[in-house]
Amino acid sequence: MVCIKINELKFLIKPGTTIIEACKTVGITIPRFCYHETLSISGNCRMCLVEIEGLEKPVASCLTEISEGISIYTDSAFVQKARENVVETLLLNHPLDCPICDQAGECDLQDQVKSFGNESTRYYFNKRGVEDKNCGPLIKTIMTRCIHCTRCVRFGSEVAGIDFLGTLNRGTSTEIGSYVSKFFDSEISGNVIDLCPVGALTSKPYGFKARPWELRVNETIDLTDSTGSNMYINFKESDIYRVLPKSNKNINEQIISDKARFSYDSNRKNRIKNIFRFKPTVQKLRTIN
Amino acid sequence: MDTILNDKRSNFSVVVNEDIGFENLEYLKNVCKINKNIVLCSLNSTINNSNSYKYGLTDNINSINSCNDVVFIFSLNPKLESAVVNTRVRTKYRNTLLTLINLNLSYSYNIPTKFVNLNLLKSLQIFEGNYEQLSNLCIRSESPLILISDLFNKRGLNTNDFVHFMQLQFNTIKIIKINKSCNTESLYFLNIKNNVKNNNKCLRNIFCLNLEDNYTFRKQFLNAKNELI
Repeated sequence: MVCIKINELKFLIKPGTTIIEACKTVGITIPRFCYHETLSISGNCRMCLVEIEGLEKPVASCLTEISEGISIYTDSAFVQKARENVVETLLLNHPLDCPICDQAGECDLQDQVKSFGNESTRYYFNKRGVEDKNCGPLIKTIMTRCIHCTRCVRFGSEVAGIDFLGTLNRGTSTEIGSYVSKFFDSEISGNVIDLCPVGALTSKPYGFKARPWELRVNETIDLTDSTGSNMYINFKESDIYRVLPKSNKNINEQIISDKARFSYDSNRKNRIKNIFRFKPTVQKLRTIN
Repeated sequence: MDTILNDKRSNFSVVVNEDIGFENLEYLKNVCKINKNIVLCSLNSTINNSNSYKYGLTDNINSINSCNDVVFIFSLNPKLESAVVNTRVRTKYRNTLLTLINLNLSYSYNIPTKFVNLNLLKSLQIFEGNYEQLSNLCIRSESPLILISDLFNKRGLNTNDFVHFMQLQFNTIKIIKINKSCNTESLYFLNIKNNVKNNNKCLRNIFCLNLEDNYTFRKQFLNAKNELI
């Protein structure tokens, strides 16, 4: 075990652990956009910057491994200023359309701007526009909202096994998209909706139906296959509005199939709403009032 | 498709089978919403609504983690039948470079794999040591993993017999059975009519999508009035 200091407190951590994971094990949450437990590390959002004693610049905690005697500060004035700058950079081209965004209320960017961002902007030029991509009937894209965390790109190539999305161009012209226009043809494509930290990739069937704070949540399991994936059902009154995965390391980790995610609308049609009585003489079901 | 969508007078039916992808199915559902005269129906006449949440064997989905070298996929397309299991196998493949042997007809798969198309008896001979390369993979493996499905029984071998046979051969073998054909289940959950034969509305202008001309197909369309497209 390696002895490290986090915010002046000593901890023993397994060697080879990254700073972000070490902080997670001791109960300190570091803000992040691009880092995800199930995906490889890319370190391009710079939101997880922390200060290490003896270093002049802040370092990305998702990329840096701990070493013996290292002293980390996760909430110093230096780190706060660095995070403020990162958030300001991300907001340069992010449209402030939260009132019409489906992600509003559960948006990582919205939460982190509120927690770590500056009160006002210093950018008064036009924001860039990016053409929306057609990902098929399940995923809606509004690419001007994209902050290029590349979670969807990594999910496609690493987990789903299809190189559908990629990063095009450089610098301020960077775009996420497919070079040749095509559908995201995967049986687990809907998971990019959950992975996207902003409202760039949202669910088409759920679009503009409800706000997350209006919905009630129930835990259940997937009935559409024998795996029994754990999931949450979001409903309002008696109607199901969407299905989300529930993390269970023993079964589905954080993934559910598209079938489980999008086949909820048939529940409304298949549901038995009346009491029936079977009449053997007529061989028919008759409704009882 | 434009002609069908604009024709509001005639009735159309689009017939699919369980091999259709979910995205295409969703697309067809949207088409049906636009023109109410289009009926989407499946060729399968029997759909089992019951489901099983347990694996029939002692091994479960977590057994994938304990396998480090070779996976045999037997009578199964994990990508279609259990997307979650397939994702776990793929994640494991990325971390440990598993060798995947697919004892099936070839299909589009998202993990690099070798397809070996043998009949049932010859497939079993792999595990008896009769095929040098494939048998060596299994024999040298510390804990081989075998994925099977319900179709396995349809090929004429009882799953329990197979498991007993395999456990005698390899003590550390892990066998995961994926119950039920998921796509068939999904057709039920997507509210698609499954009995084409008895539905007169379905027997008018019929578009068959990617269906095989076999006995089941011809039996369903004996009473069809117009030609099939």
